Amino acid sequence: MRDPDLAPATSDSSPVLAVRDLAVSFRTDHGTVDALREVSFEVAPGEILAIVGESGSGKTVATRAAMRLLPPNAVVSGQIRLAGGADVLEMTDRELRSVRGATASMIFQEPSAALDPVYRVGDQICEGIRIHRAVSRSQARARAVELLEAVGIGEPAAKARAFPHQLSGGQKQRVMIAMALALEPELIIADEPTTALDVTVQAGILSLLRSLRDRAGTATVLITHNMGVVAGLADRVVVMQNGSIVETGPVNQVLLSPRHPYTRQLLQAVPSLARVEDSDQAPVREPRKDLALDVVNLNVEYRSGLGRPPLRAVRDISLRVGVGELVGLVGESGSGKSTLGLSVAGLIRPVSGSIRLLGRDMATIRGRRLDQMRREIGMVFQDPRASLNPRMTIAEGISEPMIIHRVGTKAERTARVIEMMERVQLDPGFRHRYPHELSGGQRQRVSLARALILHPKLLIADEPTSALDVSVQARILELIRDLQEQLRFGCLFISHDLAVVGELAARTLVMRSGQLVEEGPTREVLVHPQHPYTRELVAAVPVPDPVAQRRRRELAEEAGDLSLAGT
Amino acid sequence: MLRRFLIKFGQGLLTVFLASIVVFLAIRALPGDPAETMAGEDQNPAVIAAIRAKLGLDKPMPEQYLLYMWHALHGDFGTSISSRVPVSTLLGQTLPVTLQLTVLTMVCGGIVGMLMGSVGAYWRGQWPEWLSSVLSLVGLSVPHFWLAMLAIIYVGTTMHLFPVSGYTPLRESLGANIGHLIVPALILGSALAAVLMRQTRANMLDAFGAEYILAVRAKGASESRVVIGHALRNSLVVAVTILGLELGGLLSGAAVIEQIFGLPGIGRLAINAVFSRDYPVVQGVVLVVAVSYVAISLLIDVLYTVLDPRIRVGG
Repeated sequence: MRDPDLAPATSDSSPVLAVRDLAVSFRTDHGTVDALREVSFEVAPGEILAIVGESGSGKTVATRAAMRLLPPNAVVSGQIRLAGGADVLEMTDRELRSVRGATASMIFQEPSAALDPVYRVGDQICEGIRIHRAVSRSQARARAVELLEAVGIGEPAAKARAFPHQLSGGQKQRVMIAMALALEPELIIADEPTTALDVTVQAGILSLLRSLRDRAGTATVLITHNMGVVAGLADRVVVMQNGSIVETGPVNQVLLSPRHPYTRQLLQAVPSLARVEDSDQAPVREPRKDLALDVVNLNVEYRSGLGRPPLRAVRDISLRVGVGELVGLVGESGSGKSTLGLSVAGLIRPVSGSIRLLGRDMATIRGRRLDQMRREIGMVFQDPRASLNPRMTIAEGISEPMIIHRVGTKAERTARVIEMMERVQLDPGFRHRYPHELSGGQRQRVSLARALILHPKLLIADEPTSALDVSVQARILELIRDLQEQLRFGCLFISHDLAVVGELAARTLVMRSGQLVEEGPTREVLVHPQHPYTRELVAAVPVPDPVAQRRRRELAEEAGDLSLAGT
Repeated sequence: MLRRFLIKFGQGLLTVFLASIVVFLAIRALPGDPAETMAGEDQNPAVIAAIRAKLGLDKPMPEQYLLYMWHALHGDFGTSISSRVPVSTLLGQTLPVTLQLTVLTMVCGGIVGMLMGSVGAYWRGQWPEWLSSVLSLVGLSVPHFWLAMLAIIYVGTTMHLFPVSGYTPLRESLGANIGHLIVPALILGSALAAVLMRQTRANMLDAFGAEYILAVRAKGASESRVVIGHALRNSLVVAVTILGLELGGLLSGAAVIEQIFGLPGIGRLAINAVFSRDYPVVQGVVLVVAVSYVAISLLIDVLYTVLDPRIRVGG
């Protein structure tokens, strides 16, 4: 194995990817926007180079330019050479097509969006093979099955005949990887390959990528914003900010002794389990006497088709949130955590059990009185772009709960909106703008202001930061903590990210397949997990420390090879 | 899959049943008595009563209805009042003409619409998009009969490209058959093509922004494979939906077009039957049109599941 601390070996072989003075700008209706300024980097054969940076830093633009996959309004200058060949930017379309997929291939962030929904996955793998190689249909099929097996998909022959929607997220990403490997390229560009996946699935995909490099020596450019992923996989790191490279170096140096202030800022913003371990917070076992929320033996079902049994998404769950307490609810996709949040908010009616909000049972009341009780609940959703009405100004959006519940006069509403915007640290001058004119973090502040405008006793926050960059996430989490101290609402904080919950919650609940598997003070749950599933979750969280990450990986590999666990 | 088909089939049967009742009642609610019409000048009450008895009009309404449906199921739709020919014979002569016209219209409109939509999406913001938008606007806003008149004047009499009146059965000559139908089909299909073009363009634009198109390009696929094999292929479901929705409009538009181009189709038969109060014919036409509409809808539904695998499993 290569020593990851070494700089790329340029003497013995030419780089797989050499980017020189790459500059990209986009022509738009409002003039030209610079996306990339004079960027240069190289990837050596067999090397894994991580490009990190926040959204808008130009990391995706740089790698798409390498395969000339930018939209037509992009103006590109500089020089890009793949595997010592001609300049990609000078190639004819035919030359370019012969390189795409064969010399360099790509893996995308969202595997369900990157696979064509109407073709069988095996055929999609074959398509790439048959574009470049003169092989028969059956030979290509056989190769596709072989590839699916190599990326750890069980029953590869059967799965090759499946359509994308019939596979899980992890399986789809494995299919994408198989497709990228089909022609044994010298370079794979992986753009946030694990961001859309659950932590345990993510660990499997990362270990697959690692083993591919070790076995086939394929060089990889890994684009990510997750420092834990970088620590676990990369040899070298390029840090980008606003279209420029601010720091380059071996992974240990960049992560452990960063030189540039922006790198340090990025690393500090990463929520970390280590900080939970070090905290001396007193363990909270039971909520205080005055309960904001008291859920007892809750069951929620979704109707399936005619003649099929309903799907029970929440099974017999009891939980309590005290006034002014923040409780974390952790689980992976499909665990039922969002369903639980929605039914507590009164948006899905449970089949049995009781939900008491401030001592009143919500499950039994209907109509106007239920609407009245909804005043006491605020809700923040994952994607502020989807949960804010694009046709409403910020002020209209934030004040809508007051209008619905007929609170205050017009002047009072405006005053309250301004006050609330100040509380969530938004410039009140923004109130006549529309959601698309704000950044992701600002939009989430608007959602928060809207949820809290009526001073509810309970806030349900469903993955409020998972669509945001790390540094923005850190600021939003701090804001939620501050607001909670000021306004004393109880908060059910739903997240798939253990580290985020670890930073925020006093007590944590872990949910799997609709059931609570573990519950307790956050520090105990995360540091000494009792249930095997919680242990698995904690072990799968990537840590932004290459040394610690390697130690954890070795422990995990002793326990059982994750790469072969068919996720 | 099978269950989904059976449910749709049941819905289709219900549609036909309801349509038959509505038509049956509507015809009897209209002023004018077919027996009196048949009796002609000589309004002898005895003769009228005899005709009524012969037509079964003296029986109670539910019995009349059941009797009518029973015969219809056996291919007997009664006899035309004006021409004394069995309605089934008339339908047998006219239905193939209209079916051919409709199918040709859907094919022409479908191809033109999807082609223009693809062109508009691919060359977005350039002159091909502009051209396809203008053509679509023309197709939507210019009435059929006006286009038809222009076609008769220029295509038919000035240029003599295609015959613009009459019909040659398929059995006699395929070329002549299509020659007679192609101009009416293109005109009837213009609105369909226009709607389809807009929808296809919107869908293709969505597709071009989708990650799977980027992924296909990253595999080294040619542009034609990207556009036709993936972007257009994914837009087909919506195109087929629109074809299904437009079908009703197509059948009624066919009546006008058949009249103008002198095509002996079912629409023309219906118009003449309505004017001459030939109730058995009207009733037969509506029933047959309803059945073909339901049958084509069913076909489109099956086509969906072929085009979009996600529907297949969804049940």
